[in-house]
Amino acid sequence: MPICGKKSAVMCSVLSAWGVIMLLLLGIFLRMNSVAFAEDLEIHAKTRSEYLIEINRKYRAASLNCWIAAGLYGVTLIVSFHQYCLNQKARNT
Amino acid sequence: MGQQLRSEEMTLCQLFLQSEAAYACVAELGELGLVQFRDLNSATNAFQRKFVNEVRRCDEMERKLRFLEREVRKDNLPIVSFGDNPEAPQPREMIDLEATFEKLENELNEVNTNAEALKKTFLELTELKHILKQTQQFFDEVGMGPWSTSNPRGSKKYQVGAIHYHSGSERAWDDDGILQMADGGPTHDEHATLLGEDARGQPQNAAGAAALKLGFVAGVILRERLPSFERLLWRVCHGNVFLRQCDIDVALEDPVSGDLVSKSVFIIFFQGDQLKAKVKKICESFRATLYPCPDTPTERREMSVGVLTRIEDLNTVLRQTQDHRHRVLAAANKNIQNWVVRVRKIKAIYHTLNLFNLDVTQKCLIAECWCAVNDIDRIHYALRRGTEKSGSSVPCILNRMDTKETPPTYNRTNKFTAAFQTMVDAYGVASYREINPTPFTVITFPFLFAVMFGDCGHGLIMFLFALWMVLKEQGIMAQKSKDEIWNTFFGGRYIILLMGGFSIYTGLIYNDCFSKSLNIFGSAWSIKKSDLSNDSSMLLPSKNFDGTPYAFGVDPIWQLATNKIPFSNSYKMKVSVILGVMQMTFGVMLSFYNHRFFQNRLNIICEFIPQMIFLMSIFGYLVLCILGKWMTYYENPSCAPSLLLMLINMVMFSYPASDGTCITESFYTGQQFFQVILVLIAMACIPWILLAKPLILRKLWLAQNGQYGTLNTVQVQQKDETQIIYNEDGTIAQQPAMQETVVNNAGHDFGHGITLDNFDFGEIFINQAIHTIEYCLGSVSHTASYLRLWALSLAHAQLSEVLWNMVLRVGLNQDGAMGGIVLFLMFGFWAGLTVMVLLLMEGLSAFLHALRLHWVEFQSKFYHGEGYLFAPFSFESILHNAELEDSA
Repeated sequence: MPICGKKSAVMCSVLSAWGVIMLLLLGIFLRMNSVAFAEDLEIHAKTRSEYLIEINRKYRAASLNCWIAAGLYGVTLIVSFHQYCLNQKARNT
Repeated sequence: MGQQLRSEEMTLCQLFLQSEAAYACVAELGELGLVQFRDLNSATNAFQRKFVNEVRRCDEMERKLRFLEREVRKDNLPIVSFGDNPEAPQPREMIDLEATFEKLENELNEVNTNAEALKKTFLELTELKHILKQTQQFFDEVGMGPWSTSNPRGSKKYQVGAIHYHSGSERAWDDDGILQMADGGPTHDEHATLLGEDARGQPQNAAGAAALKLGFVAGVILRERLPSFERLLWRVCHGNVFLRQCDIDVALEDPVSGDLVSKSVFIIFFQGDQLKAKVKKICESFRATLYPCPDTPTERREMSVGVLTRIEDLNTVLRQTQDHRHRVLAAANKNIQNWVVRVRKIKAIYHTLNLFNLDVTQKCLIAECWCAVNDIDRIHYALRRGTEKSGSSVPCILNRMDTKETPPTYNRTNKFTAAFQTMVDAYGVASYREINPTPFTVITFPFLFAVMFGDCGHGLIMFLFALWMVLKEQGIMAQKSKDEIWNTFFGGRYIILLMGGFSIYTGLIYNDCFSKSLNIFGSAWSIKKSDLSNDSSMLLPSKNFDGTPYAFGVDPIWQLATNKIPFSNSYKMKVSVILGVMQMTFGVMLSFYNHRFFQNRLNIICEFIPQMIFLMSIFGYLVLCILGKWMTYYENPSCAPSLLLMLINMVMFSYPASDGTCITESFYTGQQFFQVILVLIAMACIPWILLAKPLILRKLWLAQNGQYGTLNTVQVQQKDETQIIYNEDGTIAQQPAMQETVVNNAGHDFGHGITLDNFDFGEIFINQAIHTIEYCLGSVSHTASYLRLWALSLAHAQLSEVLWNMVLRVGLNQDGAMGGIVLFLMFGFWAGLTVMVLLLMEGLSAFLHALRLHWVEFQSKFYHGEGYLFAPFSFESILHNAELEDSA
């Protein structure tokens, strides 16, 4: 059963594809401890050693989150693409 | 390239068409679409022209086709369009077409009238059926029980409860012997019959029977009219009638309009002829349809059986009529689009023929047309084809004519340059053969846009969107969307493609990708571990810079710097000034090519050269200083010279005395001397621009007037020496005198091309003064105007950074299992805002600013834009416009 129309299915697919690609890349960069995200992860620590541990923990958690979100977008991509196909089929018949 | 730089060279041609070949030739030219016909009968109105009858016949055919189309649409048939382009039919085929349309229209009309009549009968019968049913029901109820309770409307205000039948033989009317109103309903009811003559076997008083002779009418009325109908009946008849009504539960079809209407059956009882007449009148005025209703139940039953059978028969006939209509329309539908195109072509041809002059011998038509010199061969060929087709033996003649009029501007475009040309034409159509800015705009426009829209992530999205439109071009075009906004985007797909591509480039230069920097080549700056403990430390080029700069664009370390904005501001501001001065200088240089092309040496000497010197000596110098400052390293940043203050001091001749501090030191040795010289040169240029041209013109005019006496017009020439026209009687003086038009006076060459036509020194001087002020002040304000490049790019970078920090950062910063889901939601929100705000809104604003920079700052340096567009007679554009009109 098509739940959404053709245009919204296309929009969701595009958004999902963008989400998958960008979040996967973000996850990889975060796993590499990219400095560019240093300001995004609020890292608080007192000593230097604690600081290093905290950095690693924060980056790992963030990269994992990115991959989870990428996975969720993968699911929405499949769903919305399926919707798109259903719409096409409904239009052709 | 030469063709794109200037509009096509046009020529006015005279065309002699044999009357029998004229139609075919014009048809061929219409397919070709390369000539613009001039109206030679502008004095006569549309009804006095030669082919007015043919145009009328075409109008009539179009009307019939529109009627057909409407009927087709009414039957819910899809309008098929094969997109084919049939040739314009021969004039004799027009009669066939007319006959076909006539036949079709008649047939359809007949079918429609029949269907209407049938439907009307059907409606009447249905109504009658309902009446019979309802009245039968009603009489039955009366026969069985108190009708107050069976009244579907429940209690009625003026319930006729007053046909009192007193029990037994004593029944009589109360008091005045007529119907009476009461609220409570019938006081007594012993299954009395309502109608005196209704044979129910009830014994009746003879006198009472006469009084009881109640008449009734039954009919159908529109439901919404019923309340007022009821009220009026009550008022007019003083409540002496009794109305029963019942809604018909199915909606009936109105035979004329085809709408569904709901109606009600009513039945009115009254006594006496006077009341009957009144009731009938009221019914008439409410457009209620009255139907004869038999009195006795048996008759009614018989009648309703008859009605039912007739309805059955009618249904069959109606279905057949519908089928026939459908068949006729389906057959016509296959050809409609084809016919429409053909009729439109015929009409366009006759319209064009109406523009022509008739030769004295009536043997041939004379036309005048503009066409490009390069196309003359193709036009000749088309004319020959037309002549052959018509079977005429005498060829058509195409003659080039000399003219004093300015020809139309015709820039050839392809699908890539068309959008850019439209953008330039929106400001003003180029004067004939003036330099067309479009080829430069193709690159500079997307580039200036990208300077403001510098973000490679946003650029990539824009690029991919445009790329999709470009690759799917054919499919999207075939869909023929009517959405105006979408069509605007689609029309500018190549512009958007280039804008996206250039934005990726500038984004990489700014090192901005969704406001994050990419460290591709490895930053050239490093921090020693010992310095890390400091919370914020300044990176010094001498200590932290490794010597080889970042390979491409801005070093990514700036993203984390606290002084990122001061740095990028100074960089972007200087870049804007450099780009601006470059583009303005380029514009002034283009004006040189314009002057040279029109052989206007006076303008080169008196305008181009001083303008160039003025611009270079102030703003060219500023650009040099910017580059110099970039290349110099200042150990102490506060010692770097402020270029803005320097420029202001330079113009004001104020040079602070050196007091030993580095800030008062000069930028380079001999700065003061050099700057004073530059300012003096620039100042000298102002009177040069202001005075030189008017004075020289005046001198020439005086010299010429002395020699020629009465000669007051020396006119136009376009490089071609044979086209000089002298006019003694001054008729041409009415032609718009163009300052820039060249005169190459063959016998007396001044060596400057000038027109000395109605020379008015005051006017020329004022013109030149305005021009001078505009240029000199303009070069200052235009340079400042280019700072919008910096402002917009700063705004864009800041906005995208804020969006990232406010939205996506929340998602990235989540701990725990919910983090992924929060990020999922936040990313969707961020992506939506990125597209809406950063791509659409910011993109639109950057687009408008880039457009302004081109229209005002760039084109004002060389572009007149006083031409008019070449509008060739072409079937393609005529059909396209007609389609647009249809859809509107």
